[in-house]
Amino acid sequence: MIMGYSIETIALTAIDESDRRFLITTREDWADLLESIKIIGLLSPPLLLPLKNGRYCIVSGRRRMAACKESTLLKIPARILPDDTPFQDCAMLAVAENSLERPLNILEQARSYTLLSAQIESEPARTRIYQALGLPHHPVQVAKIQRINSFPAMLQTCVLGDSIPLTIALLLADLPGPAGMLFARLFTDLKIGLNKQREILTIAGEIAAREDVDLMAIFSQEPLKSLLSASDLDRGLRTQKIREYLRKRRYPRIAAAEKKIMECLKDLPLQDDMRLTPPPHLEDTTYTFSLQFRNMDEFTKAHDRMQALVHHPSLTKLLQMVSQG
Amino acid sequence: MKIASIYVDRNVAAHPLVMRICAQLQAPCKTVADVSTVFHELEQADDPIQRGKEILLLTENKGPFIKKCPGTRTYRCCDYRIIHMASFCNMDCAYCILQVYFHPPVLQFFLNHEKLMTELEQVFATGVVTRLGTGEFTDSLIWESCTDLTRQLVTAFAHQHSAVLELKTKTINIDILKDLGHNRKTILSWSLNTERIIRTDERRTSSLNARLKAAEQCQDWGYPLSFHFDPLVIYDNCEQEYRAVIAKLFERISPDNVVWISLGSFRFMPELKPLIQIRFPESKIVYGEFIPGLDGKMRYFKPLRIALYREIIAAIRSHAPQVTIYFCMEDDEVWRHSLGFIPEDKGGLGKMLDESAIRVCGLMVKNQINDQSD
Ligand code: SF4
Repeated sequence: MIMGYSIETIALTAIDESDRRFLITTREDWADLLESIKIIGLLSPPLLLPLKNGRYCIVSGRRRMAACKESTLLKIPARILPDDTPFQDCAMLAVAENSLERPLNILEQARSYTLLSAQIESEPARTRIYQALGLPHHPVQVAKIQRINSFPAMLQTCVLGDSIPLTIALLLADLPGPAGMLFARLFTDLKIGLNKQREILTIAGEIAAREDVDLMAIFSQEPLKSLLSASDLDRGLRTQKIREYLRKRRYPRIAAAEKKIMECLKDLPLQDDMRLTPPPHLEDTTYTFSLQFRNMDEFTKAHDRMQALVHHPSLTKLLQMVSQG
Repeated sequence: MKIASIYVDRNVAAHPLVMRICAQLQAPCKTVADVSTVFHELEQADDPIQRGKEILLLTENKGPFIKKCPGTRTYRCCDYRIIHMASFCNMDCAYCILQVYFHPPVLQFFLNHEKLMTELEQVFATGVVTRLGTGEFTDSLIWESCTDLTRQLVTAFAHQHSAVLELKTKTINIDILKDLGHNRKTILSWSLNTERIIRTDERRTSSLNARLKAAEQCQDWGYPLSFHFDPLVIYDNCEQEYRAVIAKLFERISPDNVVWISLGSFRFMPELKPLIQIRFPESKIVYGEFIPGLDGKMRYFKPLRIALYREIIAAIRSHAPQVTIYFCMEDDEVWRHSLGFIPEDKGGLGKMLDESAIRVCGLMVKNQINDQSD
C-alpha cells in the first residue's frame, strides 16, 4: 500500500543526485524543461525519499531537478515520502510516474522490470503489477526486455536508436568476446533491417561452427576485412558484397551451381519473349519454358529459334546439372 | 536400460508384465489415471527430450500396431510395415527425428501384445510377402532388459513363410537371439555410419566395431542381415571414411547373407535444426549444404547426394556385386543417376525388396505355400 507524501521546500544541495537506484528515464538532457521552469515555475514537484543521513534520494523528477539546478533556484518544492516507505512502493512510484505519463522506451522498460522484480517474488504478482503500470507483461517478453540491462552501453544505444532490433541484440549479447560489438557496429553502419541482419549473423555463425573458427577470425580475413572498413563504398553495394561472400562460403557448391545456371541461361538465345526456369534448387525435375507471341508469324519464328535451342550445348549442360552439379 | 521413473497407465496396471518390468528396471513406479500428466511433467523439464529418455510409460496401444510406413508422392518409399510396439529411445542421436516427431517424446512401451499378435496373424494369413520392422519409432533391441517381446516376435515369424521381421538397432543387445528358432524369417539389421559420426552424433550407441561384431555373431547364428547407411553425412573426406566402413563390413559379413542395404542422406524437419544446435553443440551435421526438399524437409543439394551415393554404391559393389541396394526416400532422378535404373524397371521398389527377402530369407509366395500343403 503506497502512503501519502507531504509537500516541503528542500534545498537543492540536500538532494543526493548520485543515488540512482530509482532511475527510469534514459534522457539526460533537460533544456526543454529549463525554459518552462524559468517562465512558469516548477509545476510538478519531484518525488523524494528522505535518507538516514538527512539528504534525499530522487524517486522521480531527476530531469526537473537538473533543470532547476541550472536555473537560479536554490530551493524547490518537493513531494516528500515518509522515510519508512518500503523500497517496493518507491519502485512502483518511480515506474508509475514515468510509465503513466508517456510510453517508456525499451531500456526504460528494462530498468522498470529490474527495479520491480527485485522486490516481488511471485511471477503472477509481478505480471499483475506490470499490467497495472502499463508495461508489457508477458513473462517471455519481460525476460527478453529485462536482459537489455546487462547489454554493453553501445548495444543499448543501438537498440534504443532502432538500428538493431531486440531479437538480434539478444543474439549479439550472447556472442563470445568482441564479436557482438563487431556485428552491432556493422549493422548500424550498413543500416540494414532485421532479415538481413539475421541472415548475416546466422550464416557467419554457421561458417564459424562448421570450420571450428572464431567468428572474429572470419571477419579478419579478406575480403570481409576490407569490406568492414570500406565506408567509402555505397552501403547497398557493401551489404550485397558481404552477403554474397558469406553465402558463397557457407554454400560453396550451391553457389557454384547457381553461377553455372546463370551462365548457361545467359548463353542461350532466349531473347525477351522466351523464358526458361530451372526447378528451384534443382530438387524437383521440372523445368519451365514459357514463350510469348502475338500471332502465327511470331510463333513460327519462335519455333525456329526453339529448334536452335534444342541443340544448344548450354541447354544440354543445364539439363545435366542435377547429376553433375 | 536406465530409467529414473516408471509411470503405469491405469488401464494396464493389472497386466502381469508391469510387475516384471518394474522389478527389472528397479525404478520408482507410479500408476496414473491420465497419461497426459506424464507429458505435462515432461514439458516442464529443462531438457524435455533428455527427460523423455529417463521416464518410461507403460501403456496400451489404442491404435493399430501394424502401420504402413508413411511415404511421400515424390520420394520413393519401400512399402514397409511398421510394428509400433514402443516409442522413443534411450540412446541419443543428434539427427534422431523422434526428437520432434512426438510431442513431447517419451519412452513408451505398449503391453497389449495380444492385440499385436492378432494383427500379425492376420498379416501371415494373407500369404502375401510382407516386410515388417519394429525399428521405426524406437530402436528394436533396447527393450530386451524388460521384456521378451523380441523372443515372441522371432518365434511367431519363424512359424510362417510369407513375412520377414526386421530388427533394426544400434545396440549389441543380441544375447536373447542366440538359441531362438528363427527359421531365417528375422533379419538382424544395423544402422552404420563412420566412426566420426558415431562419435560426434550418436551418443550412447555401440561403436562401429561392436556393431559389426554383433552382426557377425548373428550371421553365425544363422540370421540374415541388413544394413542401413542412413543418415549419410557429407563432410570433408567422408567418402573415404564411408569406404572404410564398407570394407570393414565385408571383412566380417558374407554378401550372400545380406538381404538389403539401404542408403539415405541426412534430411531433417526444419524444427530439428535449433534442437540439434542446443542439444549437440559439438555436432556439425546441420551445417551442410541443404536445400528445402519437396516434402518440407531439408536435404543435401541433389548433385551432392548423387555424388556421394555413387561413391558408396561403387564401394559396396566392389565387395558385393549382387547385393540389393536401395534408397530410402529418394526420387527417380537420384535412382537413375546413382544406381543406373529406377525401381519401376524392376517392378517397383516393394517388389525388388520382396524378391531379396524371398531369395535370402527363403520366403514363399502364396502359390508355393499352397503347393507345399497339398
Ligand atoms: S538409435 Fe535410432 S531411435 Fe535411438 S536415438 Fe538414435 S536414431 Fe533415434
